[in-house]
Amino acid sequence: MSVGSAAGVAAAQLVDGSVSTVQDVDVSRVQTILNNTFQQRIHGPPGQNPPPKPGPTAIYYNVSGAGSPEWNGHYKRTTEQYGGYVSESCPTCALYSFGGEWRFAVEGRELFYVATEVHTFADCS
Amino acid sequence: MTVPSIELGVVFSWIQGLCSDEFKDFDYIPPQLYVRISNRLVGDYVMTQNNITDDDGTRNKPDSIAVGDWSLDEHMTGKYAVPVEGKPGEFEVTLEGNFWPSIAPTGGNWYDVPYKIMLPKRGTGANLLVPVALSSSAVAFSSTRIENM
Repeated sequence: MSVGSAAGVAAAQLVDGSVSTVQDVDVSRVQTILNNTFQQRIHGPPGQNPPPKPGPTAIYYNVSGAGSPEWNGHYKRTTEQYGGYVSESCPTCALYSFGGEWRFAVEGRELFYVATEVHTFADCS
Repeated sequence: MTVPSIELGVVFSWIQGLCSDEFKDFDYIPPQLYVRISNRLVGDYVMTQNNITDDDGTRNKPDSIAVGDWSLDEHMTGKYAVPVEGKPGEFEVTLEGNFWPSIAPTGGNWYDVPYKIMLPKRGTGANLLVPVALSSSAVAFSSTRIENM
């Protein structure tokens, strides 16, 4: 309820008569109430150091030792499925990285596995 | 499976009935359950993909009232066949219009959502705030739509 709660807090200024239009709302007052009363985060992390730039993108990965054998095999890079990799033996099986975590999923249906640890994969070709 | 009657009683006590003045022509139930994207407000400010991905350095906004972190998330618009390289006569299905990149390649997955994204153009609505159908481009809305809920 982030944007919706902000709308409600802003509308209160029209109700109490302190402003006459939504365009004239004192946004700093809205921010203070969102922060202090609703503990709503209103800004992204300031001054955060950017993560290291990603290295060269691998063209494929070979997966072995998966919990279910159908997830093993050769995954080829694709630009169509989240910029991830698609299994050559199972066209709906995808391997992709999201938020630094590697995942197995069938697009639009089910997320099967999310890596519990983040590893840096060696470059491959 | 049988639900114990005492539990049913608790559950039914929460049900207040359907809204009596909405969707009367459909027995008070919305005829369409989910609309992912539709018409949106066009304000003096329209958030675009650039405002989210920091391509123009505006990911931080002084009038921010929320923080977004969902990927740009557009579903496919169609499928078409393309020849398989090195295999004459063979084709494979490729999706068109489908993308889900991280919202920012560096600096973390976040962006500020400014207050003005809810505002009609000045002079067109003095008492209207639009927290759902925000003033944003189609691509930006594929992410901001998550923050409206």
